[in-house]
Amino acid sequence: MILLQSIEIFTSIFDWFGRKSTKSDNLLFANALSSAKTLQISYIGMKAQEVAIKSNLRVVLKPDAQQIDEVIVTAVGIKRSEKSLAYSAAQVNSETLTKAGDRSMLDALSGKVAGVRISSSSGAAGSSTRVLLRGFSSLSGSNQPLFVIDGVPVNNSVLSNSSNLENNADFGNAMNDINPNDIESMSVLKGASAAALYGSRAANGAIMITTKKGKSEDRMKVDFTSNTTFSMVGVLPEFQNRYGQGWGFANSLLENGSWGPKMDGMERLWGHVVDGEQLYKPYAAQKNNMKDFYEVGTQLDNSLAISGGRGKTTYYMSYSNITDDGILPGGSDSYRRNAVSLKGSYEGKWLTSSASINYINRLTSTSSSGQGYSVFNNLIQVPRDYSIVDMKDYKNKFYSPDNWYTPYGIINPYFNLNEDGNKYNEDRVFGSLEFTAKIFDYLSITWRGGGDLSNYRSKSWRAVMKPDGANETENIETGYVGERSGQRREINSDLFVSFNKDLSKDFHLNVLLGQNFNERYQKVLNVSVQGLDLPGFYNISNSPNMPVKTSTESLRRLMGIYGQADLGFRNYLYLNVGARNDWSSTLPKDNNSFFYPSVGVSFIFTDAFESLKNIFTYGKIRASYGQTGNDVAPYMINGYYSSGNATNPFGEGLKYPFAGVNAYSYGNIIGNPNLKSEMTKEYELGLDLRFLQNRIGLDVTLYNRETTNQIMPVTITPSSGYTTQYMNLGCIRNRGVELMLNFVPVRTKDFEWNLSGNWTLNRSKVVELGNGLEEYSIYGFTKGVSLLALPGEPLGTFVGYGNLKDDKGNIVVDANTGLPLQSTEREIFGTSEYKYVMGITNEFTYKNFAFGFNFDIRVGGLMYSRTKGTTFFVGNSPQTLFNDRQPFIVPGSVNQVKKADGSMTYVENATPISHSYYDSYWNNNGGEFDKGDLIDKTFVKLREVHLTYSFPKNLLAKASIKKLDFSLIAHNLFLWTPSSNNFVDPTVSNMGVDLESEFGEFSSAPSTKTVGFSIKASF
Amino acid sequence: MNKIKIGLVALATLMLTSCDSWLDVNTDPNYPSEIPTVMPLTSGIGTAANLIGGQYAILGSMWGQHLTQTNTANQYKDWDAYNVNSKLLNSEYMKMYAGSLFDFKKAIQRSEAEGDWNIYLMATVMDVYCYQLMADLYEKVPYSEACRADEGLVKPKFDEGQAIYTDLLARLDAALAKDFSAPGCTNPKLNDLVFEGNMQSWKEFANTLKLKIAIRQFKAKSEESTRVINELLNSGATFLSKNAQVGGYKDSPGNYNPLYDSEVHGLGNANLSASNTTLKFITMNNDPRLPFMYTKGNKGDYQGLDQGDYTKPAADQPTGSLSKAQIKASDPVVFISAAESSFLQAEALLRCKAGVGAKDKYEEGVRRAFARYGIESQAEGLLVAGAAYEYTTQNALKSIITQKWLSMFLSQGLEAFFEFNRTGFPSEFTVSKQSILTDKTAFVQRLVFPEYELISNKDNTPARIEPDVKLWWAK
Repeated sequence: MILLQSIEIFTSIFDWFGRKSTKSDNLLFANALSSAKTLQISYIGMKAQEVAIKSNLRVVLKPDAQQIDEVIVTAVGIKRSEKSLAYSAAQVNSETLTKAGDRSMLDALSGKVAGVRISSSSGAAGSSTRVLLRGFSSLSGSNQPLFVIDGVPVNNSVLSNSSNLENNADFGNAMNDINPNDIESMSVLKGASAAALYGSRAANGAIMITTKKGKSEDRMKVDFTSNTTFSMVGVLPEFQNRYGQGWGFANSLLENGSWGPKMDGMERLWGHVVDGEQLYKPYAAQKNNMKDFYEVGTQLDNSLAISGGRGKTTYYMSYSNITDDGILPGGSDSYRRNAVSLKGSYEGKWLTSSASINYINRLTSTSSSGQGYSVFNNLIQVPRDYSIVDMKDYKNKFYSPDNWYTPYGIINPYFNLNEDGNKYNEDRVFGSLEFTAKIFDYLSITWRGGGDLSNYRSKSWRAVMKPDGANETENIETGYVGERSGQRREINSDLFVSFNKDLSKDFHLNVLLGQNFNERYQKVLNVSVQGLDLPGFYNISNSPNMPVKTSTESLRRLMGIYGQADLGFRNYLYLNVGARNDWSSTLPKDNNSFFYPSVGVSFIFTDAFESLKNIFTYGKIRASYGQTGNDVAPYMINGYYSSGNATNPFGEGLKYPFAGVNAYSYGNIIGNPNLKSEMTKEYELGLDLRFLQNRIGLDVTLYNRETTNQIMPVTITPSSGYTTQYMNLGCIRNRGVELMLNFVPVRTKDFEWNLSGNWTLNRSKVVELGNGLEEYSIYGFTKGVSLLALPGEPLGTFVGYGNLKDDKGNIVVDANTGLPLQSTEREIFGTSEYKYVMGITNEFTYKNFAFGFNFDIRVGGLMYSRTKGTTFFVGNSPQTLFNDRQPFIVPGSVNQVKKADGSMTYVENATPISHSYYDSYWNNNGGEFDKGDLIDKTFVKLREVHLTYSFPKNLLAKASIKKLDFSLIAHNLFLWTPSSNNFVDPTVSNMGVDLESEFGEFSSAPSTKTVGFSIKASF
Repeated sequence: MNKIKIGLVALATLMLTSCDSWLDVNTDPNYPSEIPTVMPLTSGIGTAANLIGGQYAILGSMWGQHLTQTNTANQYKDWDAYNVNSKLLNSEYMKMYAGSLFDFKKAIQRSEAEGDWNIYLMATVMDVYCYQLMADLYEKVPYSEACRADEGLVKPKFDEGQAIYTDLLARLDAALAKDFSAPGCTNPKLNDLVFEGNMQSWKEFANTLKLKIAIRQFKAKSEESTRVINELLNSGATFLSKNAQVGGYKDSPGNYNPLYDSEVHGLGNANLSASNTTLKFITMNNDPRLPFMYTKGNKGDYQGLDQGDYTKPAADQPTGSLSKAQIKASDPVVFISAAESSFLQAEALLRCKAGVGAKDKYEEGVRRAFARYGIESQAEGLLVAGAAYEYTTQNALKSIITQKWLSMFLSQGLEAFFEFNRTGFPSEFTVSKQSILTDKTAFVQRLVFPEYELISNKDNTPARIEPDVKLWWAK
């Protein structure tokens, strides 16, 4: 062993004004084995160097130019140097994804890449995550990006047990099952030119995931990660603490709301008299009654990976396990995931082969959300003077459904928490097989086959509830059990030839020609029955009633040929040309072929004009254009016969068999044999600038995306016999700016501060709907606010009926009641689109400590909140304390008087809203009617925080540990919303993951915040 | 070289043709590719019954003043307040056309082509019944151009109620004139949800329906109505002596009576309570049907609300104190009841036969109305001279319509509402306390044109007609 006395390292230091000075550091003493001949020296931002060992070594490190020329995984899994790309492609590495110990790789991406919007549906264990690249561009089709793992498209379907607003259970999305620790990098191909090689499937961009592989370093590497986090309920509605149970200022013991008298703290009787007994409690505010209901959830996430290789063989094996018991008391919300991954490769003389197989088992239990007897909907309606935790014993005679204090649409939340439930279990296998034959040095042929197969079972049940006490005729639930089993299968094959050669000293050519087969199949079998014989036994057979059963199957196939050519000139000017032609099974046979071209130019002007390097370290300008499609769903082009079943508002509807017969009827959709894929055309312009030896980097992208041929279910008037026809209509435009800034304000020997930010502005516009269509409903209620696509307006415009106003804009109220009147004219309230979205990440490293935090900021936009409406309706919201609930005259209000000629005049209103109408006023959203359904969804969220200590390497070396990090981690610690939103975390939604989720939330489960610690070790 | 070329071409052709069949998987495996002629009749009747006995029955019960919105609930406040807008019953309009009328049209077209006059008559009668309902709710609806999207007609014009009525009568005549012993005629048995294939009953349904249409339009077209009624009465046509109804409902989810389904199963029977208009009338007359029509409230007695008095404070009318309608999961959905048949005949005799025999038909109607609850014998006490329901020539029409109104409790409220607007009886009706109509003495008369038409068929949709404007047959 020799001792190196010191190594002098010179680094360039920049001060705040960008002045450069060279500083030398006598840095370290290093131990090296005496047999070692060379030493590798690496330093942040500098190029690593290998030098021969000698005493008093003097090394001058050079800025890492290589870092600029990052290798990016592009479409079809082809690696390209970032330099040559004519489009924006953000790549996120494994460290960024796993830093804060997210169970979902999508959540980990949140707020980190411009133009990528990630939102969690709720804080419930295993809930789904919504992903959106750039903007919504399809009205009725999918707006989900294509997910590709190691070149093979995989499934990201979302499963929920019901599409209606009652008993809605979210079982999560498939991409959340991928173990983030297995991921090497993720590149986000946002634009049409980036994803053009995926043709019919890439209208919404693609997310390319590269997984970790073994390295043939002749040693075995073991990576172990363990995250332990504790979750707590995040945002709950704010409540008032002045008025207690009752309605109309009367102290009714039956009410589900807080419209009673002022709370005075006196001991009072409450609830029903049962067996001659009645309970009493103080009539005083229970400030945290809802918060106290929730418990601390625990998440354990352990992952072990063993990898390595020898010579030409590599292997990678990993196992991970997540156990998440959510914030609801007991085990009713939980998520368990076990994942195994096996990979291997062999590099032969001319044939390289690799294979991977992954198995995932997911078990999710979740409590229903939405209206009806969902836990959340019950909780927000409990009077302010009630302690909820005290009613935990839902079998107690006072708290059981028999004698629960109110008959009005809510029950003891502990009852449905413990007795009702939803379970989901999925087995999933995905993997790939790849062979590459090197014909010449510059020519290779690759075949890659892959599959993603899953099999799932879900079960939902509701307990029999036939109260026989005070609630004898109320709150009846006859019991329900529903089971579903399904299969999903996606098979993909790619065969491509790749050519890569210097044509001359100045020209380099890269060509790819390929062929693709893709098949997607799905089958779902659903059985449910209402009305159970034996309470507590949840089996389809346990009922005298006829089960409802459906079986649906769908199969689609796609064949494509594609090609791409990149011509490089002197490593600073690149031309990309690409094209794909698709034949799809879902299109009419004679018209099933579609062509998607793309073209782009990239110019590294700092390489072309070396003199510019005095100003910029690196400078690139890029421009591209591309077309992509959004395929027609299977079986859409023909009309069909449907079941004769009929629906009823609030009821089960008529379901055959009925009266001993079955029935089919003429369906409501009239076929369209001319249907085509949706077509997206996108221009993109970008500038990538880096200054001061990469300490400042700025990437600007401008895009203009137009999606035409929208496949729209056009409503035709039912008096024509049909209600719907799918047509290619309209045009949605998304224009935007994406900024990414990287900045290193401080970089010294021991301390470095890295600041990165991204800012996205997207403006959507419904350019036209076509066919004389004046609007398209994205989501809405028969009575109340609707989210529409209106020509000339942003995609997602809220409309409804607000206040009736006179010509001067005064609110018109009823002369008898003083209550505002609703307008009969529909008005536009605003859009669901954010004004802008940004993310800010700060990373500080000091010696072995690293501290970082990340903000997710979204500004503007409206959403629907049922939580708001409900807490207004029951008088639990602090807004309902307006004027201390004393009679008041709506400020500036007028009365309408009809003149003899039938016209209207307006006179000043003198009628106050009396106690009897106070609750009606708030039930109409504080007199705002439909407008009051909406809230501003602006927020600032401290998404993640981590503090990491990396144990010193020389210390670890003794224990043969390569790396050991200990981190404290936290998620969603802080959320700021405008004062008008004291109801919900505005990212929650239980309305699916696509465009309709822009509508808002319908009594969604609350979000959570988590704190915990993480250990990462490598051996 | 040539061989290679040929080989490549052959390979390419092979690949392309095999690809064609590989891609040929777009036939929907989830739905049948063909259905028998009787099926659209079955599903059309099922859907029509679901609407008529469901949401339309709720509207009818309120506008027919059998029931009113409970003061401690909210669901149907707008309905009870005559707050009619284009969204009100918009989806029911959709289901009626796309779910029932289109299926009836297909059954009519297909049975006509097959010479199956049984199915033809059934589908025609149902089609006529439903179109009359739509014409009475909206006055102007798509008719002659309706349900013809297959022919490329996706924006049908609206027809006048009067013209529709004329055609409805003509179509009933034409369907009745067919040869029911023709070889193409089949018996749908259970697939006929109304009479299980009993053609005699269908003919009676058709005759009674003709009578109903003729009487409804009597004021506006008395000449034509008189002719139709006389033809019917003189020809010895028989009328319904049992209900034309869909039975088969039972206490099983998916097979619930639609009113029970929505209001009791779905909403816990919180919204509909006894209207004082009906409750006071039957209480005052000691009508023995009271306990069969309503439940007692939690104070142990029968309490109702004045029509539309849903803002009454809970302190004055506590939750649970109101009487509710006796709604059962197994209640049938009635298109025309036996009692209604009698009352129609009574009015026909009154109008066209100088009232000869009207009394008998009236009393038969009352008895049949009582028979609904299995208490036929108790009707006598109210019919005898001097009793509350005694038939007198001075008050003949009032008695007939008033008793018809009571007989329509729960099952046919909408018909009672139409009859009130036509005749002004029963005189007990009171304007909803929360009426939003500018004229606080006016009763609601109609629905306004639905949103589906306003949005998807704007050019053809007539200008809005205010809900208090009387229909052509009531003017």
